[in-house]
Amino acid sequence: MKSLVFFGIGIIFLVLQTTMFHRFPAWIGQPDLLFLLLVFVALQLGTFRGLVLTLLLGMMLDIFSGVHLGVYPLAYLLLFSVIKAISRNLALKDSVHQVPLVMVGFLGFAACVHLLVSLLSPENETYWAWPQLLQHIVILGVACLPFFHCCQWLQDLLENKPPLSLFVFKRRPANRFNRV
Amino acid sequence: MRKRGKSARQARTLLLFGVVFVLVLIVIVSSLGRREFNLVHRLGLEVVGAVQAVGTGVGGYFAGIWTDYRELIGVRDENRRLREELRHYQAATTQYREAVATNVRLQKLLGLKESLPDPTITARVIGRDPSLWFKTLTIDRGSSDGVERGMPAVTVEGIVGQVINTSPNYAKILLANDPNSAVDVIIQKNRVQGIIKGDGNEFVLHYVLRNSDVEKGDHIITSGLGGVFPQGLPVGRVAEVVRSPRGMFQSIMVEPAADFSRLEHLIIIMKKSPLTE
Repeated sequence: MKSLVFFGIGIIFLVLQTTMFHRFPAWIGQPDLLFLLLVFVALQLGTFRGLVLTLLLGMMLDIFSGVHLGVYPLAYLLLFSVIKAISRNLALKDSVHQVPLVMVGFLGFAACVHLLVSLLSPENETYWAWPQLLQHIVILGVACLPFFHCCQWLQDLLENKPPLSLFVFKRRPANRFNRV
Repeated sequence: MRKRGKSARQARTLLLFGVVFVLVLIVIVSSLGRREFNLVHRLGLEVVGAVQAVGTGVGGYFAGIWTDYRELIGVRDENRRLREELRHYQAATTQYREAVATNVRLQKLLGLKESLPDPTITARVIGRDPSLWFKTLTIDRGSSDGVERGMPAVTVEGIVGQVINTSPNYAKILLANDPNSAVDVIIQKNRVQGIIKGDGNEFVLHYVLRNSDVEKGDHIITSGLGGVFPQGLPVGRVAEVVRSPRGMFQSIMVEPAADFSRLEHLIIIMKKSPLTE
């Protein structure tokens, strides 16, 4: 049920990004909500569920973007694996760490797509524009905390947990290592 | 003694009232039937008139405040009503303007459609590539309408791209400014041939020899040699020419004829292309 809801949300984001966001003024840019959703999925959902969702959404994005099929599922899969691997050792669920995670993650994701496309069509020079990329990264960095908060609220709702407060930043527990 | 004094005072009062009464009576009687004011009338008018003037001023002032207040309420209501009317008319004007613009655009498309040799179909752009790296569009025509992979897409301004994927009701277009796109073109004035490739925003004209005469502003059109686009469709204009001291070819930037950011309707030329096979 939860996976289905997040998949539906992913499709809605995809539709919004392909039909509405290009109308935004250039200085606002086009926030990649689907990417944020996938980072949230990698952080919060279980491995199997998250993997299926990541691949499905990557395939859906392949339909509406790009020339070579399979680039997005593969790039998302790599992103998912890296976040899962890192989150076992670092406290990535803390708000403080999520902003750099998203920003660096998007840069890595962009590099991955660029590399894959360059490998698939070596005769063409793949498009890479630093100003636009940096703008995207900044937008994602700004949007990620409220976005994750909304997703967390939704997840709690789906799991019948008491909803979160409106305060976006999570307070870290006093001593996370002292477990009785 | 005291009684005598009291009666004398009463007698003086009575006498005074009697005199005043007689005077008033004289004035009234003397003014009966006349039309002109006498002294008393004039005096009365002066005094009362002054009071009247003050009273009227004060009354007028307060009446003005009251009227203003009442009118203000009226103005507020009227203002609200007028604003609503304005909004309504602005919305209507926008709709009319949009209808006129659509009409003009479709008329141009119709003109182009009739001028093309192959059968064509008009399509509406329903989605755009959200990524930074690719330039593709989704249109509302698919294989059930006869759209196939490799078919060229054009607008009145010039070439747009070609179909790369289809489903029964929708198709994906690779824009000509995508780095994965390549179109065979010629420079209109001297028929020098080259290949246009996208760089994400504009075009780059490749394989034009260094000694070829190319200048800023030259028109680039399709050559028809690639087998995808018919010959003679506008592609763009030369924006910049760089002749490096080394190498066989010039580096030529081309400004696209079509505005890719504002595409709404396209024409798909229903021409079988080598890509279909």
